[in-house]
Amino acid sequence: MKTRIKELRARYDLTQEELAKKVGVRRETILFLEKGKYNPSLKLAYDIAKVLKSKIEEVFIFEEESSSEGQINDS
Amino acid sequence: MEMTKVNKQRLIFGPILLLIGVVLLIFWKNAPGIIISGLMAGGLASTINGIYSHCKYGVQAERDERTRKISASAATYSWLITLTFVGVLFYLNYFTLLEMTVLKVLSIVMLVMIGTLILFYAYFARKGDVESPNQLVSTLGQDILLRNKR
Repeated sequence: MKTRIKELRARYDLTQEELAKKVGVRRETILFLEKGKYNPSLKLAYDIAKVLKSKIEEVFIFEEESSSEGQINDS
Repeated sequence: MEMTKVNKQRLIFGPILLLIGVVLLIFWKNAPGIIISGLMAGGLASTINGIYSHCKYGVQAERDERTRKISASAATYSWLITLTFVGVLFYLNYFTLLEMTVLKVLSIVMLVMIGTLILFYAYFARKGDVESPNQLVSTLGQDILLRNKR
């Protein structure tokens, strides 16, 4: 999973701490999200997208080569 | 000075417990040591926790969905390890390979439970999530992939 949080954050001149405060999480959570190491809940993803004035799919980019692709195609 | 409600409670109840411990120590000559030390340790832990949390997080969120998820997983793994440990102790005792008093067993079990909880919490906190990066495309990822496909 890749995210564009860092890029969008820079566009709106927000620090990790400010974004964390706006969405009600710890700064470390934003850090792990930017590194693609944390899978957020739908609510957190929605809140972040809202603060960054973007759609969820514009902020969080999931690559199709991932292991779960088969499951998605099957369903 | 702005402070969260939880930290205010920690910094009120901590010193109160400490004070009760000191008062009991002075005025109750034959007070059981475990009560005094329990009160003092509880009070000290609450006070230190309050000061540390306030200095580190201020008025920001101290816990969020990631830390709650990590705590839940760490508690689960810790419980499983403790259960295995208790099982091992049971068989060691059953075959008379190891004989211990109830107090000793309970102390060791408590240490194992708290120790593994702290270790697992630290491990997951360092990793970022309880899932590995390859498993990260879960429900949210699937929703987004499906939406992009349409």
